[in-house]
Amino acid sequence: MSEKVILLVEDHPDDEELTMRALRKNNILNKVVIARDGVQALEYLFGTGAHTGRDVSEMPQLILLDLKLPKIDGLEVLRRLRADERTRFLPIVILTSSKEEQDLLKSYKLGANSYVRKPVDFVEFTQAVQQLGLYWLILNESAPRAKVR
Amino acid sequence: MNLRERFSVVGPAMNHAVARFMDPLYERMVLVLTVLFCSSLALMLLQVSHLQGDVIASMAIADARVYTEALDDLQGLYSSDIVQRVRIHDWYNIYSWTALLLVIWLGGLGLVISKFRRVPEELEHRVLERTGDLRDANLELERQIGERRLVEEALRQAHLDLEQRVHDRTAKLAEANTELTREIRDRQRVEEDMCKVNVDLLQRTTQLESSNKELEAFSYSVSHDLRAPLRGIDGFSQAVLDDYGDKLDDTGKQYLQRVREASQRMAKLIDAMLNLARLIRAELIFESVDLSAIGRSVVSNLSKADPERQVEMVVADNLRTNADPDLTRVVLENLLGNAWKFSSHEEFARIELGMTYHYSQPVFFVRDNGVGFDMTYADKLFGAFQRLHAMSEFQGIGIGLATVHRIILRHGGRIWADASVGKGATFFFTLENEGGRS
Repeated sequence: MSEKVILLVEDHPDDEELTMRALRKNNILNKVVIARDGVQALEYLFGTGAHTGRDVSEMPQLILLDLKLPKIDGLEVLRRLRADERTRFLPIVILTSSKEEQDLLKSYKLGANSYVRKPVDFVEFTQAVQQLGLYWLILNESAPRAKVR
Repeated sequence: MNLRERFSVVGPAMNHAVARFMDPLYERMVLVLTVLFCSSLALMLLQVSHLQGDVIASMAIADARVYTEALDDLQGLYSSDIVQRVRIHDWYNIYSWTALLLVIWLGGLGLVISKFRRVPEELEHRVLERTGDLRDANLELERQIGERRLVEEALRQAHLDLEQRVHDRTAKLAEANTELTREIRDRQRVEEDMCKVNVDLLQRTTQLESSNKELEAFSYSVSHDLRAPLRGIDGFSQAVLDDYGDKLDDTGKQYLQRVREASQRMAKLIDAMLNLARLIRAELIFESVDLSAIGRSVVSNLSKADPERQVEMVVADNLRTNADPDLTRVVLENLLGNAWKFSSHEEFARIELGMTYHYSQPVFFVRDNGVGFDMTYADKLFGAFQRLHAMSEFQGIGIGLATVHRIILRHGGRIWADASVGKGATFFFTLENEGGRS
């Protein structure tokens, strides 16, 4: 693995743009793969569909997962990732608008590593992204890569 | 035993007496007497014929006597003696037998008569005896009848009593039955009412549940969808400022900054609305709450957040109530926060949390000596996003008292205010309803 890839699962183009901007502002220059719904995210991670043939031993260093997504929502993506040996220990940060109690509870129950609410204030948002990058890409040691069958 | 039966007992005794009287001895005696009578009759007839003979003889004798007398005269004493002898001889033969038979017959007759005489005596005796018996029996019977009458009277009385009691009991039973029927009817009615109430309650619960679900869905949607565009407005305004700031003059930059502020303000409104909605949905956990402790903690936080202000804070001791502790804190944060805010223009600000009595009901209050408000607009106090002061004068989004109001209503308590412009405001509240817990 030459590069620490970030998988951004986000359907809203504004949020995608703003997240990318915040990452760049914080000099986080890692490759960012964007999935615009739950299906795309799962296909990328498991090398199916549009991503057939992808080397699935290459897993992203961090997944930024929105909850409200077309087709398959964020919670279902989370559940499937945690149910699969290959993605069981991937760091997944829920990055969403809501701070509804039920969303928080369900996310943690399904095994999210962190839950961050996107602030409206872009300055605050940039700070949040900076801290996420610092923590998950630099400070945090990932679990040894799961064996791929 | 009736009278007829009584006499049927006497009857056989009488029959027995008659039977005794008619026994074979008497039959034979009567037969002997009859034979004797017949034979004496025959003898008498014979004697009559003898008498006739005697009459003829006597006539002849008379004739003879004439001759005899003549003879006597002739013959003297000797011849009369012979005649005398013949006469005595005849009479002796016939009359002696007859007399004997008559004597026997009369004796037998006397015997029979005496017997017959004794029979009525015996009968009479027996009848008397039987009559005595009968009288005794009658007396016994009368006694028994008397007794029976008494018993019957007692029985009749008992029967009457019983009937009266049966009547009474029946009446009581009927009354009880009526009562029971009425009770059953009442109970049925109550049950029907309860059933209706239950159905009503179920419907309302269902409605409430569905409206709660709608509210949740709405909140969820607001939480997710309404905030996203605001992030865009704020984020891209900031992007313009960052990337193209050099192409804008100060006014342009200020405008963009105001766009950002507006979007952030709206985000706060949305959050406040969501919080309010959450308060309505949240499950209340009632426990004994120390309002004094919570009040002091809130006051302490206010002082820390604004350390330059000098405010006289008075929190009474032992303020206790039954309420949800988290929501009680929200109430005090808002009320004390408002007092803090609206007394900020005072030189000697004073804020008090205490307890008083309203119609002998304990009531908590939060009082300040701040700007107060015009009671004319008191009805707008607790509405969401209602404000009685200009935004430039006091910051705020007008959600604090609406939140407090919701919390207090959910507890079953009450809140009201007393204020006048320039003389401060007092908010009175109870968290428990009058009957205790809500």
